[in-house]
Amino acid sequence: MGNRSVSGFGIGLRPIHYGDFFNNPSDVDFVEIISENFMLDGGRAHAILAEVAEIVPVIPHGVSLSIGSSDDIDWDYLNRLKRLVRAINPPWVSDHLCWSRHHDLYMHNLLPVPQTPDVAVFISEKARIIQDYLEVPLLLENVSSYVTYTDSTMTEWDFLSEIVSTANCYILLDINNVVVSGYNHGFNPIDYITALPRDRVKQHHLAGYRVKDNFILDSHDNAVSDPVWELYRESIQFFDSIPVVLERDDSIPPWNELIHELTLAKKIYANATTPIN
Amino acid sequence: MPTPPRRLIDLQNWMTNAIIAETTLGSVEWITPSTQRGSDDRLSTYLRDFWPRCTDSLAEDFPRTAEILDAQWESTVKNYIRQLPTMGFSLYHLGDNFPNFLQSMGVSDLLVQLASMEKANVTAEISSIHSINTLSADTPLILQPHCTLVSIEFEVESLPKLVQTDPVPLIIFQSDYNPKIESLDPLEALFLNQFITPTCLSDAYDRMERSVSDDSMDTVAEFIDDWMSRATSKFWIMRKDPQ
Repeated sequence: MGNRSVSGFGIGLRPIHYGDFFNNPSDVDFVEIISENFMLDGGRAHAILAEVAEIVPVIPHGVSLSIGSSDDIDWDYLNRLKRLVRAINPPWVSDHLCWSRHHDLYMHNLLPVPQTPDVAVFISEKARIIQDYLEVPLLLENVSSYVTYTDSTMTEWDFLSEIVSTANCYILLDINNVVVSGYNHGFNPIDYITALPRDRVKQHHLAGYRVKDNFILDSHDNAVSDPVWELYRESIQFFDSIPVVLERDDSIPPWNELIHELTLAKKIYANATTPIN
Repeated sequence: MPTPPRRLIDLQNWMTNAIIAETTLGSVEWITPSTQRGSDDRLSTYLRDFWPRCTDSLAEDFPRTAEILDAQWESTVKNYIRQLPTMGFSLYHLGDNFPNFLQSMGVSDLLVQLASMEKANVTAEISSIHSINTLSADTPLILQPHCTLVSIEFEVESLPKLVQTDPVPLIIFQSDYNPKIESLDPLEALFLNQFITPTCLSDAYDRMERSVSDDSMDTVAEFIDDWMSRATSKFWIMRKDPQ
């Protein structure tokens, strides 16, 4: 993997918590940032990032790579991402297995791709090009989704596994997204996580969702939901000790509340891995 | 670049159009219904997401413009995105063409000026600042990317009412990572406007000489000497090709 090792439990660091982080850096083992917020030409984010990276490892997590887009790779975007990678020396970069750009128009959303063998080949080739260019491992995250396509002929877990195996890249397994999509599409989340190649899963996300009338919305605006904790507990049995990030993007709670939730994740992990005498 | 499958292109053509046009037409062909939701209902989750994200994001960047447009804000944003879709990966760039779009829509000049001012705030917030180093008379210089020159003809204190007043030249720039506004005296505005495109100091001087009366030429020379002696602390202009 990359140059700087990461383990333990971290959070998605958002501007509202910069001050709390600098006051309590030992509350987290590492942080994840939204890559695009640090890929602009300048501004406060650049100065903050240098200080954060001095203290803990920082993982760039993007939302606009759009690897599933039929468009060509956005080389300006990738150049900027590479500059960010060089600046903070992360163990890996991550983004979503989705499309968010078409004919150069950014949709600012994580749209699922049809799960077919030819799309898997197409995305694998792009992933290999991107990973080679960035010179750092690429992790692809499973997205929450609300549609499945009539074209799809593969399960999402087979599709994801095929792509990362062919491209020799890795998986950021978002436990919340598996629960959300499992409900929306009618699959068993356990089937999903047990089918993934264990050695390819390098990071977890935990987050909260919102229940709507007849579907679940991946809202990232409240505490981690019970079914997500349950699936996380289960997933510990399948994957080695891998870093966990707690994500919150809306209705962001005070730092202490977030850290309390992170402590809960640590406890679940500790309980699941403590041998019973 | 690998060749994308034809069906992937077709699907993304259809879905992009569906989201932009807010229509579920064609959803049955592309989207499988679930036990609980039909194809159109499932697609609508994405349709409901796109426009609020655009209108909210632009309202954050153009708060006073949004306040003034009020009930017309949403339709104005939709027309803007449909006619001048932005190609930037960051929502910070969503409003790059918005003042020009408003101008093309024939809204009042004062509203276009306000939108330009608000766009300049965003630019100041996300742009880099370059050091100046040493300059000579023939060094090509340009306004720094975080700086925007605007001229407004409304009273800022009267917002959200746009009350007409005499033109006031302003510079909006980054200071301590925040946007800052300073009014400029006419000579300084004339000087800085030379550097919207790359210009040598000697050419700027010549042009300013032609713009002022003969008896002001000494004043111009003094002004430029004084300004340049303070240039390194201003961070408003830079070499065209920063080293």
